[in-house]
Amino acid sequence: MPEIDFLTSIVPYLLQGVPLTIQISVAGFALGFLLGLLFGLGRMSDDRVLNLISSVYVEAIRGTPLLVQILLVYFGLPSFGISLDPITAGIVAVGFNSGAYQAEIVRSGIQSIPKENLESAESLGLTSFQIGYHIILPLALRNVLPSLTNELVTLVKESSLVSVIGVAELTRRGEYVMAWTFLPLEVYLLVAAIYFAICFTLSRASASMEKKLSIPGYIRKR
Amino acid sequence: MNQILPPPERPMIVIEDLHVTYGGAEALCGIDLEIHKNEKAVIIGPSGSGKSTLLKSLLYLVKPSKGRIFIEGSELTEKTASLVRQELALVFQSYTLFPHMTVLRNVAFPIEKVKKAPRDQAEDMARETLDSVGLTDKISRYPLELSGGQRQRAAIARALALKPKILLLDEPTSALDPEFAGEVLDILKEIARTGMTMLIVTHEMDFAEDVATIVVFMEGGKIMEVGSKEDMLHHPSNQRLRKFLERIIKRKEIT
Repeated sequence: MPEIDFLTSIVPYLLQGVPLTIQISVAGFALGFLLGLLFGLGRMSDDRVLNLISSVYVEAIRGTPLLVQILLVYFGLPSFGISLDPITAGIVAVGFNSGAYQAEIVRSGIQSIPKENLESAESLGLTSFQIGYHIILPLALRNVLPSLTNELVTLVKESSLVSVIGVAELTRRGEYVMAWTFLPLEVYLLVAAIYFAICFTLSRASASMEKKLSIPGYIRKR
Repeated sequence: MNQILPPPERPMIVIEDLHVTYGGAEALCGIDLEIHKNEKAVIIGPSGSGKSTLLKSLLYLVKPSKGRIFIEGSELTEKTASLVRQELALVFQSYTLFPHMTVLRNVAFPIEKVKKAPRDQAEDMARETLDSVGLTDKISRYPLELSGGQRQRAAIARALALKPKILLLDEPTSALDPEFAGEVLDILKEIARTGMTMLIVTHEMDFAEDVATIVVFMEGGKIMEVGSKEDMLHHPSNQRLRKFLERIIKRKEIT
């Protein structure tokens, strides 16, 4: 077996998977945020139908494995005439998965705002839009920033499951390298280190943003 | 019991047979009340008697299931609510201020949005009102950096800055330590002297004694009795009112 230079060939090859890992997790997160907003508000709605649809969505997603959801989107949807390329399928599956968790985050964020705050806003004569945009949004976002970061970090790690449908992201590339080199410990440690670097950077960035946005004297309710 | 002289002008608030239902239970069952300009109505009664709900319904924060409310002659409905709200201001027990805005912004922001005033003009008005409640040196602080009493004073300033005709206060001092209640009550007494029409839910009997022109006693979602301060607090004829007052006074002696 020829000698393989780890630093010059394998590391760059693995690192080329990073943009795809980030693309899937960030795009999935963004899709999940929109769905989360929609279904989170749906779960708080007084409308029974909206409420039911939102609850079914959240429970169905949370009650099934992401791996199975990815396989369903990629291999199952073609039966309905919807064929997605692996990357798109990965983003859709991750996004719909994340939407269910983000729906709960949105709900808790809004519910953590004291009712009196919103009633006073209303009593002052502010419109629903003004209350939503100037009061609820800034307060709720601050409340859920740690949960949202946590969700994004989770997605970075869970996006590795998309490797099963052949997307050449970080984990998939690790498997290829494994097949050439038969150096499982070295290769997977390296893969793990790269994931860690991404996730650690994200949490640090979030922590500093949290600090920057923190309201003097404000203690978040847990 | 009707020793109050009938004021000549149209009442500022007319409530007719107001019913409010909360999740199946009736919180208010048939309220009739008239409040005239310049009156200070102190609303007393045990907790759960519907006092807060009554104040909230005047702002359409809770919708009546039956009955009507008129503010300065115009009926309060879904459609008129946003207009009518400009005539009244409500100060809650706590959590009234927006925690992510400075004290100055808390007061100026509603002026900008509701009165459509330019920012610098709104902030000038806000500064002026905050001066009047003695918070000149706190305007750039955030609500949670203030003491409870200062927070309530800022909330009162925010309400006043919108120049309401009627000020509603829902137990403005009950979330405060006794040491801070005094400063808030002093400001309210001052406001009362300016001729503002006020509806105040409170358990502070000394304060009621000081400012009330009429006293409303509520129990179980109904108004049990309305009368002058003299009749209601000094010579209560209603058995239940007498019991209630005794309980309050006893509680005060213990603390």
